[in-house]
Amino acid sequence: MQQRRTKLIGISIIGLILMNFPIAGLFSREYTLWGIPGLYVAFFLIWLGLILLTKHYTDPSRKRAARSPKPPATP
Amino acid sequence: MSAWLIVIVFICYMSLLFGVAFWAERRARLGRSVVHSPVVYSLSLAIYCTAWTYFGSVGRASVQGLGFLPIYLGPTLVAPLWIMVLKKMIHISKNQRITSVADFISARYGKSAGLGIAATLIAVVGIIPYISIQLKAIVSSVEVLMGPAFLRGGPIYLDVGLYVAIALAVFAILFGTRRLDPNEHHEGLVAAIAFESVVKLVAFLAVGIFVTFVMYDGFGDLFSKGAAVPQIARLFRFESSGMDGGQWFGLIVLSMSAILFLPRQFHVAVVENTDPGFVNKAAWLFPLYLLLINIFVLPIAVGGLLEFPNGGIDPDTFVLSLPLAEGHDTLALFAAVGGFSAATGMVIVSVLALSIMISNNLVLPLLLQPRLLRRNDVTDLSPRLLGIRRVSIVIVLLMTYSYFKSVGAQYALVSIGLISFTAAAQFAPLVIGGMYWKRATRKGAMAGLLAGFAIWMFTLPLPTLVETGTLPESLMTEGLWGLSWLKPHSLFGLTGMDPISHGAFWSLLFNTALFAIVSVYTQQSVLGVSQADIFVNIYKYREGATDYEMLRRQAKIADLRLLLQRFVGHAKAEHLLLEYGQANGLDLNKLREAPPDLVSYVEVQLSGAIGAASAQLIISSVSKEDPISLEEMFEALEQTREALAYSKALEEKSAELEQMTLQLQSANEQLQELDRLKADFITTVTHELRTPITAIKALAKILIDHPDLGAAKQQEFLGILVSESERISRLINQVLDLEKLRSAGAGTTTEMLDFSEVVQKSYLGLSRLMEEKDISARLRLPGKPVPVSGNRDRLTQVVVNLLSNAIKFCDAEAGAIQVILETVGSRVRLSVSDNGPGIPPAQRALIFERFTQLPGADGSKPQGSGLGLFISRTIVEDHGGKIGVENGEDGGAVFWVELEQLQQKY
Repeated sequence: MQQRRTKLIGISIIGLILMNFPIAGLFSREYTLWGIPGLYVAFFLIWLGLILLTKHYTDPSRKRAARSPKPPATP
Repeated sequence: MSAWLIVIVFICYMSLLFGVAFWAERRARLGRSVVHSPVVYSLSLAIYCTAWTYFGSVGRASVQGLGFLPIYLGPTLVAPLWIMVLKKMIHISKNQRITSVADFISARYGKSAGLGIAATLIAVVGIIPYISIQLKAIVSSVEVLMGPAFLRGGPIYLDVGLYVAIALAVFAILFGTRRLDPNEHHEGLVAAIAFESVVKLVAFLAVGIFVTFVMYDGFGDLFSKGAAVPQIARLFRFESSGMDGGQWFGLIVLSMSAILFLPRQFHVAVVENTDPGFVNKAAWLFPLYLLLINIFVLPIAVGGLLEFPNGGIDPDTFVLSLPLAEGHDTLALFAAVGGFSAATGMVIVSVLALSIMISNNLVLPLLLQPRLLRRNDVTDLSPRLLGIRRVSIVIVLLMTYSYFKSVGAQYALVSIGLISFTAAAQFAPLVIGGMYWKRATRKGAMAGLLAGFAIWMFTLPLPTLVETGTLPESLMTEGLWGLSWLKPHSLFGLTGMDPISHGAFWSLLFNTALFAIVSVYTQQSVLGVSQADIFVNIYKYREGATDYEMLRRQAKIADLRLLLQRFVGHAKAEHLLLEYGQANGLDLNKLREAPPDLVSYVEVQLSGAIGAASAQLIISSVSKEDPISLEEMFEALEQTREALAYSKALEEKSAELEQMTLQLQSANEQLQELDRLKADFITTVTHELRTPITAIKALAKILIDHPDLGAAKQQEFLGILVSESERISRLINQVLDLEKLRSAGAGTTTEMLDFSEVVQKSYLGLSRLMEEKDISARLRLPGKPVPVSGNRDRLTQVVVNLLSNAIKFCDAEAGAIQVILETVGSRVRLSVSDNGPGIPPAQRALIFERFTQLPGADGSKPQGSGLGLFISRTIVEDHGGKIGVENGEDGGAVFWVELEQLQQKY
């Protein structure tokens, strides 16, 4: 639980850093991806990444799956 | 578009909404709730997306590019922390039956009625403009749909806004104030707003897909056409937002607090929550919703700017005007329904949340008078409470409507929304500080809240009054009372910030600073300390609330019953009391005085109906409180903590003790076994002693009684006497040996000795006896010394023992004994074989135990004491060796001993 909290706080901080200046300013260039302005693509991709990360660490079904393969205790 | 069509569609939509709400309430009554699901919970959070999102984002994007985004990034960035913060808020609110964010603050700081009133006022003043712009959005979307036929400035009975306000009031009253529920769960309402969230998302996506893929050929086509226009290409750069990093960050922070502390968000996220576990799913599902509803904002804005290059169309209405301009009236109508759903969902929940605050935290504390609480007055007050709520709903919507009529129509959606965000952010330091900082006091909270509120009022709403001409222009240019450092948009001379960042910065700075500083320098009341402990350590209380009852209050059960009946109704009151009685195994009808935790239980139930401060006020009117000093309170809290630690230590100790007991038990069993063995031993020894003594006695008696016995006979008898005495002495010696072995154990001195020498000497000592018995004996020794470490006497004893056994048991007629000493690897092996009857396999393990005797070679009675082999085994094992027996080739027994050979020569 404690470890999960640390990870979630980490996601929050990483997101805050990526989506603020000065990092956010780096995406503001004259370029396009699939014909879409790069700034726009960058923000939505980071956004999606944060959502997926949050899902990974909060979804109870994943939590169970991660817990089950416990290494057998050494005799 | 015909006005009637629009009216009919909106009426149909409203009816559908009522239908959904009724259906959900019926399902809930049948126990098959549709609302009890993490998906519905996440969708209900999406009332965050109002008409501001639906229409305003596009408007903002068409001017500021990505500038519309921070408001949605904030909730996304804070969502991972919900598992900690929001869950804790929910647990506290369930425990304390909290009904609104004002109630939360009031309850945390000693159930202060004053704080509840202040927070309610801020919420009302801060949110009403925000609600009114939703009305504006609805009205202007109707305006766009109807085109030039729209009546503006017509008579009031033709005013769209008024009818919308009335419809919304009816909805809020029907589904928000149907009955007084101590949990404030409104299943129908939640189902309706979740449904609205789906409608607005689908409608917005439909318009976005229409613009991107029907009007243009996908994102690439749309954006490349936009990039060709300099004014639009500008929007693809960060600079177009007109914000610097600080403003950008400021908006993110504001929206982070808005997502939980706006009254409507608090209501759906905390009060209406039915399971704290839903937060896990909502933490990613809700940001995903935000992402989806924002994908097409910029495309629609670009499409709008391309379609209407000459302006003249308000960018806020692009969502409607684009489909209209393309001749897709149905899509435009659907888009309008989406916008309508975004606005109505927000209005209904906001109005309900405000009305709960107004009735519980504003009206009731002022209204509660002893008159209401007289004992002989048994009227049920719950209808009156619901009445207060209904009136509050109507008043809030009236205020909203009049604000819309007088001021709101002049402002863009976004700017007014942000002013409300800043108002809601004033709650953040108090709520967050209250949950994690025990020292936060009521006075600190009050100071912070009032300072923040005052600065917010001065820097944000006040200038809007100047712009509408209500206040003189000089206020903005020269400052309050002509003081240049009191200009609303450059307070204390701070310039270069936009009004929102400026106002948010100053108000939150003063709010937080005063809250912290005053808290440090003031003391809490007794109730304050106890509430602080509940809020900060909520997880401790969830486990066993009654153990931590601090305030010893006494009240008569009849009084409490009366109070409950008045405020939650007769049936519900009886149900609650019965529930308490069953949970605690008490028959409340037989008691007169209520136990202290019943008083608290009733207070918590009342809190759900009328708010924490009011409930406390009412309970104190019927209960006597044992005066308790602040020191005692702290001591009690300290004691519970100590008691917790102590009980934990006790648990550990008792586990240790249990283990010790087990160990003792097994030791005891061993001792008992030893005791039994000892007793057996003594019995056997005495028996063994008695046999020869009996024989000696009998023979001696014969010799005395018959002095005339023949000399030969006498000789024979005397011979037996001697051998029997020898047997006794041998037995005694062996018993003594055994005792010596046991007591000395390994403590006997050891030396380096030549085992072959030991064997040789022992053999020589017995060779005469063997000659006498005509036994053909052979001894084979290795040619060199065999060094072992051991005790010479003991090892001699072993060899002699084995040899005498062999002599005893070898064939009586033609006895043959073979003694072989050889080295086997690192060990030395001595084997003594005879040609006697051998040892049956079943006996082989037994003969090394004590007092095991085998019959003699001729089947006569056992010879020996039964201790020899046991002693030998003990000695050999003490020397780290092994002893055993097997059958020889000629059927005789082969006893062998193996000892570790010392490596060094000697």
